[in-house]
Amino acid sequence: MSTYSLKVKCKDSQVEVIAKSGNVISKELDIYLNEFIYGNYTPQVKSEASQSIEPQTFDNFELVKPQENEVEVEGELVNSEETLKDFIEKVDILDTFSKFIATAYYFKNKLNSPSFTLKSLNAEFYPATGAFCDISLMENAKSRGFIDQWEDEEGTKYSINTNGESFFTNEVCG
Amino acid sequence: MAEYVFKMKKGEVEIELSSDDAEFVEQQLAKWREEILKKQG
Repeated sequence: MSTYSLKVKCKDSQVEVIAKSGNVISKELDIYLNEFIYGNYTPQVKSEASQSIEPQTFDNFELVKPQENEVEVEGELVNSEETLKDFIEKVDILDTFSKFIATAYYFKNKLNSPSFTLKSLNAEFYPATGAFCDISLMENAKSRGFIDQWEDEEGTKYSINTNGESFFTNEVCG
Repeated sequence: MAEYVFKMKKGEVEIELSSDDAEFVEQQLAKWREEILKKQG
């Protein structure tokens, strides 16, 4: 089963839609297509000086090529060669559950791999933390609404969802 | 499994589409390209 993700960033805000069907994402993209290209876009976000952002013209439209080895995590550019161990140590996480959520976040935002299996997660998780992620840890995260689960031809897949990402950024990093 | 990322930016707004469905991403790219060319024409 394919996955579809659409991230929209504006200043410090970011919204991400993850779907298992392209229809929802396609409709959202059509809205941005009209707004971006035909200049109907009027951001509702205000600048620090509390002034509205002027509607942009097509002249300002540009395709952005991501810089090699760089990804943007919560507005901070970090080197994609940073290991999971470095990532966890940087955030200074102590408990295993939070380390697991950080790992799921790392998969999605650092490795650009939104979905993972228990096996692929543990291949990164164990060397970085010395602990294993077992079913009970996963069930705990699922029951708290942080992780989505589905089946595809490769087996059971998991992905951190927006609730999980909010938990990581607000509770674990906060 | 390959993942395809299509990123656009206008002013301070940035949108990023990512999917492992190559056909879907190709269709979306074609749609954007067509509209851009139409606008320029």
